[in-house]
Amino acid sequence: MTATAAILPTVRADGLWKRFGSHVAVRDVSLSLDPGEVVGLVGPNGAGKTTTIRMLLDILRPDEGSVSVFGAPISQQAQSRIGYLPEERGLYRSLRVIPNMLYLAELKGMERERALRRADELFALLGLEPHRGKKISELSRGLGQLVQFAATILHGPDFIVLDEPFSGLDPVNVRVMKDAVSRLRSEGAAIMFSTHQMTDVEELCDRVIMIDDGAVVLDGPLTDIKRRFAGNDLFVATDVDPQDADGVLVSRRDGPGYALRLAEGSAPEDVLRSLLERGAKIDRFELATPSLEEIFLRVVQRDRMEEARDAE
Amino acid sequence: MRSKTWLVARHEFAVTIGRLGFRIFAAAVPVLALLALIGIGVFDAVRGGDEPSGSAREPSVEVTRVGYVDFSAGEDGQPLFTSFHEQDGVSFAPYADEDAGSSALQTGEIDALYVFPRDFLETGSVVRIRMEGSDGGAGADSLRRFVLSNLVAEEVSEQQLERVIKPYSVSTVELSESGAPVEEDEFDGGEFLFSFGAGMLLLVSVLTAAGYLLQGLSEEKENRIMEVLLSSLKPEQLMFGKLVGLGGAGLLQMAVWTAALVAFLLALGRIVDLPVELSAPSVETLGVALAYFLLGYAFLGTVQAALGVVTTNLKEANNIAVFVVLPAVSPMWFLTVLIEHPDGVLARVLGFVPFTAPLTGLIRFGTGGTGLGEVALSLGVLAAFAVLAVLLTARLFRAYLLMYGQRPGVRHILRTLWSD
Repeated sequence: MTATAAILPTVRADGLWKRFGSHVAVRDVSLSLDPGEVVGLVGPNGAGKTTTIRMLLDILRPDEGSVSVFGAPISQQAQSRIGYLPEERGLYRSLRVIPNMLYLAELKGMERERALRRADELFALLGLEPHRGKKISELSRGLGQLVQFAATILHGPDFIVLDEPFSGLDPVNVRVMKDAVSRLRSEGAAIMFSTHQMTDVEELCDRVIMIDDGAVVLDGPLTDIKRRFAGNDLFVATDVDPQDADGVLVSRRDGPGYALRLAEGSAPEDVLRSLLERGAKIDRFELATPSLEEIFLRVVQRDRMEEARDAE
Repeated sequence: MRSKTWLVARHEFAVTIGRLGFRIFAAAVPVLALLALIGIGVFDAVRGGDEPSGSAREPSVEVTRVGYVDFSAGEDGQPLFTSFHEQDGVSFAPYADEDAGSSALQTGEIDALYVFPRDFLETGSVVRIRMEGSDGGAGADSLRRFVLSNLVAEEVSEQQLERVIKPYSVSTVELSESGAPVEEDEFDGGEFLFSFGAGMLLLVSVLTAAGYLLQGLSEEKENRIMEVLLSSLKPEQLMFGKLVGLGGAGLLQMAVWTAALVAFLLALGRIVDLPVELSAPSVETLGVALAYFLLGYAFLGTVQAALGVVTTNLKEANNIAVFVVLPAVSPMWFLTVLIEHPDGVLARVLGFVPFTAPLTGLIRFGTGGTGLGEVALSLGVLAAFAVLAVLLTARLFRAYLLMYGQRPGVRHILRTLWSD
């Protein structure tokens, strides 16, 4: 027995392909999620995110490649440990909240009485108590979404897929749901979070997987990706103008500090050393990383240009 | 862990019998039967048996009194109507003249007064007098019998008189090619009425349950819950669960309706005289009805489920479902042929076509047009088609359950059906 056993990924996909007729929806996608990790799955519309998710959950079978969940090919037992909030929400509109949730929980193998107790806890957590006796058709869109979220996590899943979970929610309920997601992560659940809201990804996710045109174009920790796309720009809050510091090509006032573009071959530590030698008092010194949205746009535009070039 | 198929079945059953529409529909037949019985009973009591209601009617114990004035004269100059005064429950009282008869009419002593004129023998004319608004009278048969009895009874025997009044009744014997008389099938009216009624109710139950299946699938596709369900179970489990659950609801409805039908027929036989004798259906008939229900539902329900999967919404699904419903009810178009020739070519063919077999099979069995052997064969064919439908529909479930907003082409569906 080894002292440090390797962590078994919660879900792992290798070389997934899916075609619908002549259209290739997913091409050679490989990914994995570890327990307690929140991964953002991002990409433009029609990139293949939903198809990938459906293959991970065994809703669709891949044409090629394999998926393992909890270390084995997906089974009904494994499905019972998965929670899925699809992009297009749906509950039985003519049924009341509790029967809807109990039915879905029972399909996940949960005993009715235990599901009822857990539902009460979730209602308290999500502020749904006043609505437990209502029919789904009587709920607002946002409340319906909270109920569906509650149904998704009712059985205590270890792998949770949330597809655009915040769309249609007011800021208060967005915060309620984000807190719930953070709690699930701290309890060890692996969470895949698909969205177009890059700020949500930056706030919640440890890692980002970007899919475009059916293929994974970025996969890594958020900080690494940002650093990769940061280039040579710096943000420095200091009491002297860094324009004359070593290695600085352009200095521009930016709020409480300066945005610096470095000369070719210069490193941030050269600038820092030069400023300290000049006796500057430095409050902030950081790489000026692009937002995830900027990275997303850059990658997608790059792919579009490559496609256009290939077409020529 | 409990079977997910069972969980789906239980959910579908509970949701379906919880629908107000289902409860009203299921209660409709017993309520209508009860109302019909009450109506028939009241009507029968009001009529009090004044008019003949059929050949099996008991003779009325109440005697109708009419009067007559006989001005007629035979060849010998004597009055004609002197011998027979009581005919078939009608008493003919003689009066000396019209005034005496009219007085009796006005006091209610008699219901009508017949005046036979002197030239009755030449003309056959007779005048009936009755009070305004009254429908009193002897009735055509009684009057005929009264006239004939008085005219010829003394010259012929009683039997000859009967033949004069009712000359003949014809019964037909058919010979087979070998010259032997063909034995007529023993027609059991009660069995036929039950089989026909049960056949209709079976069809309605099957189509109702299949309709709920279609509706449920379309709704689940439309409101997108399908994706959540498929993250918990396999399409085949969903399909079988729905078939079992909704079939159970349909069976419950069928049981309620059958019980109401049997009770109605038995009670009807006690309230009014029917041309056929009614009795409770035999165990065989009940068994055949149950088998046709189960297999008919398995086939038609599965076909409806397939339609629900390949269509995009309930409206479209309902439009296409006509192509299932119409063939299923088509035996009604040939009902006369099926009843008169239950062992004919058409009846046999329809008995083996899976869409028409449930209704045709029950009608044929009820009329005695087929034995248990042929019924078993018909059920076997139906079962084979049901299994085939289930296997093929399972493929459609996996291929098209998540196809929203667009209907697959016929060629694509055929490719899916026949793919490995």
